[in-house]
Amino acid sequence: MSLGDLQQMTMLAVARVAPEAWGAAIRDELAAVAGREVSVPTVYVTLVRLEEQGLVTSSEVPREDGVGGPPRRVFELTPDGWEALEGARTAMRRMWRGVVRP
Amino acid sequence: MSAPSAPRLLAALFRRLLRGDLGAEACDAMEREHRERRARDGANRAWLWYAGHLLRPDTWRLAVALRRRARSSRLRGGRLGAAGVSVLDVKLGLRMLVKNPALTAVSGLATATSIALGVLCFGFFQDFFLRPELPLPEGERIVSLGLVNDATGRTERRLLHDFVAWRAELESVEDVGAWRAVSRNMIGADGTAEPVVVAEMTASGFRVAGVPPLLGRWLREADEVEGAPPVVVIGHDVWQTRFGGDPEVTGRTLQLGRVRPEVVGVMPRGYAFPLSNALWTPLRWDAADHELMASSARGYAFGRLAPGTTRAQADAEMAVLTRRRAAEHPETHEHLRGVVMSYTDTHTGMDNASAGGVLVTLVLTFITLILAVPFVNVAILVYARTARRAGEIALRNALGASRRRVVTQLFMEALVLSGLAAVAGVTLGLWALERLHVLMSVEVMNQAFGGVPFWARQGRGPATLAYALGLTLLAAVVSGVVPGLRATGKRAQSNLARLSHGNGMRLGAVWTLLIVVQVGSTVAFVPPAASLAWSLLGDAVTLPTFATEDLLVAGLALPPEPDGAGEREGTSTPIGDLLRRLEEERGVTGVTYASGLPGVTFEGSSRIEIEGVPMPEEGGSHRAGSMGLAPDFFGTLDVPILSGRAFHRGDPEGQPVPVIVNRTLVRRILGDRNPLGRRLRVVGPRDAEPGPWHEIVGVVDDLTTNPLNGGRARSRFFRPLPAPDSLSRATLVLRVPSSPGDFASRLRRITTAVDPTLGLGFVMPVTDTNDPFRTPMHVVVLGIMIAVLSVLLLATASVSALMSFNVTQRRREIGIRSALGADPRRVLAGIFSRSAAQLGLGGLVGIAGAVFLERTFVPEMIPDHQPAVGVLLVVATLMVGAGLLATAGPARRALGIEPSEALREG
Repeated sequence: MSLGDLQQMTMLAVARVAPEAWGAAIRDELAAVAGREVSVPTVYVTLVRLEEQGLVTSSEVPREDGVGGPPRRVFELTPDGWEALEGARTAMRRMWRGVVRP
Repeated sequence: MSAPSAPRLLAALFRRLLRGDLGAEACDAMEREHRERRARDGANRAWLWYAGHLLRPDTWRLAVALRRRARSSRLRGGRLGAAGVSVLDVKLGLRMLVKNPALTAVSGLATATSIALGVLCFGFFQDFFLRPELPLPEGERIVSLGLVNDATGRTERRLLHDFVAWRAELESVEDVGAWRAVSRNMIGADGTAEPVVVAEMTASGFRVAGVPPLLGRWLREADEVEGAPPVVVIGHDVWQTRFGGDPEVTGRTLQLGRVRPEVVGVMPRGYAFPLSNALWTPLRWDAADHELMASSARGYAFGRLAPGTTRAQADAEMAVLTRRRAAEHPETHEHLRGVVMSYTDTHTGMDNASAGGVLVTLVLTFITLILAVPFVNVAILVYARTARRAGEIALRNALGASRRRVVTQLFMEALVLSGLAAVAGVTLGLWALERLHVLMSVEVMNQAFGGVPFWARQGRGPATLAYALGLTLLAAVVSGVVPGLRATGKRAQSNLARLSHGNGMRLGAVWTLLIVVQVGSTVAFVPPAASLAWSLLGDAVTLPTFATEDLLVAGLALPPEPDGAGEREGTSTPIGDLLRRLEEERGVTGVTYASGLPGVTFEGSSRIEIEGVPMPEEGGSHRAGSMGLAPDFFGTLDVPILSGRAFHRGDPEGQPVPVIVNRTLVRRILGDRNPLGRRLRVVGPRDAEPGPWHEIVGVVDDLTTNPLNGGRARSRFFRPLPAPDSLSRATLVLRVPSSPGDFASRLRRITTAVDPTLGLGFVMPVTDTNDPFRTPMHVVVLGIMIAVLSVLLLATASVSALMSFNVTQRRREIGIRSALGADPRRVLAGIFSRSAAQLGLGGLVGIAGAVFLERTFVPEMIPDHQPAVGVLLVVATLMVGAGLLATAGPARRALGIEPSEALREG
């Protein structure tokens, strides 16, 4: 399964902030690490699509930040997700192999 | 417009747009960022940023994705468990039950009945045949030792001499012991006798069981020596009832017949080894006193496997021993083989064939298959309903629900129904099992062995519940998964195309086959089953044709081996003495005796031949119950002789011996011919020598009739019994006008006074003998009746559903024919003729099956059987009528559809 750039970034952000990979935290991680500013709806629509493809899975966890409110939906990579992510990395490495900037 | 108010409106808009928990979370994130931006960039810029999201494509993409996610979640049953099952499925199942109350009631009743019968059958087999473990320390190491005759396949119980050899020589079995059951009268302080079964057992029996006594000691080897003082070990119940739980009971005595053994020990509550015993006396069994293979050498042998020894090893050693004995005693032991068996199998008739376990498994499998028949009926009903839901199922398929998911949901719906039915079924089944146990402990097992085996308490255990659970799952699979698989098969997609037309699945020949099988099997099996139940009920529930209000009935038997009574003086037996004593008793106005009493004791049936009356047909025979009666029986009971004469005193010695027949025998076998003076004899099996001729000297009323069977009675003939002095057992009938029930205890005291060894079994007023659930047969009959009724109800519902759906299938064809101008009456006639053909074919197949059963199996099972023609016609009419009635509604609706609508379909 080929992953888009934003999908790869989002999945990596999920893996990096786990086990607190909820929407806003993922968005913050994308901004802080990759320097990629994405809108809130973009993050969530990406997550929903990844979930539909079975690459991530989500579960409800109660909030522990003292703010209260409804529980958060936290994401994590599925085995298929990990496989797709590693496949993307391998494909990228292969493509780079032997490539020299003139 | 002020900036602070805008986000609230926008927030509401976003929350409406972005649904679900993820949507709410996204809204929260945007609102938080809006607050941060307002603090950093000002309210207006923040508002613009916020409002700009309404125009962003990713916001709308998220809205669509969230809606898709919510719908998918709903269709897939919400939060799915590991098995793909959700709470929603259960809720849907419950909703379907409420939505289809008729289907729920019929299917639930059928499933509950099947499960109840399954629990009853499995529990019974579990108790007696499925190798239950002995609830004793290391009970699995306790074994039975026995002899099997390889020539006959039968178990040889005359094993005294072999037992002596085993006890001396067997090394792989320790504490080899033996026991036999003997009947004794336990006589109370007030002189009343209670017949009890005593275990005469070797002292080693207590070591084998390994349960310490509550008080005193076990039996010892020294007690077995001839001439040693008589001793007895008593059970907990006897200790409580006879000795009031006296802690100083050891040393006191208990009268058993003529002997007063000293109580030396009390066993704890529940202890009943070797079978169902509460009294143990030493087995004084000297081989020198008995001939080899004498009937007095009958008993059971047991032991405990030596440490480290398996049953196979012990069996091998046994084989060597018995080969040696066969060489020593070829005349008696040529075909005998010594075996080491499971202890429980010995007492349940499974000891002479290793294939017994296989047989039981086969029987249980057969029962399970029979019980599954109603599940198939339920499946047909559910299938018809599922077919109507084909559109919904196809839509769900199209929206992404997998076939497995849809089938799982249908399975869960069926499981909810079968689960609820199982609760009722298991409760009913366990109650019936308990009832059967009580009745068996009173009757069958007491007579056969002296009680229900002490290990037979496992029928209510986890294995039975597991079986019930299995049946429940089977019901859910058959009635849920099978229709589900059919409904989601390859044709599901084509059903989607026909969604708007309200059509379901096209079934064709399969449907016709289902109708024929359903009608045929019901018509074939229900009448014989009803007939069987009715006949059994006729035997079990009878009403006397003579006055019984003041009659007391009692069973009398001499013990087979008088315990030290020695030779009786003169010619009179205790039964003759007792009758003479009772004739003098004040308050007793009549005393008579018989070999049994119809409706009270078990009544056999004989094949008979009457001179000058042809046998029914090749291989057939007339059947009648027979009973021996005292010469004054009819006079004492005020039973009128309809023609001829009553018995005279000299009749038992007559040449030929006269007999009296009942009214039903005359009507059924002789018709208009005069019975008096004709000769009658009993003919045994085909090759057996017929019995002597008797002369019919009188005709008497039926004695009992079956009120549930149109007042029908059994054919019977009566022989004159000799004087009571020569009888070893009899059924005593007393006329006690004041209060027969109150005279029972007085009768026990008189019996003990006449002879303490004379066994007095049941004593009860004749009016008490028609209590409901009086015999195990009542429970069996009740079970058959409930099963037959529920099968009939279910079959009627199934046929109705099949026919109704069958016509609904042809809606388009009917509509088009109407549109093309066909005469509605002709169309209707076409519909009904096809339905009638299907139903009629089923009915004919059923009648042929019923006739076959009536001619082959039923006469073997029911003596005196009259073909249940009425029931057959009622069932056939009911099935065909219900099917035609179910055709009418859909046919009328099909004729009423608009031609344009009909043409649009397909």
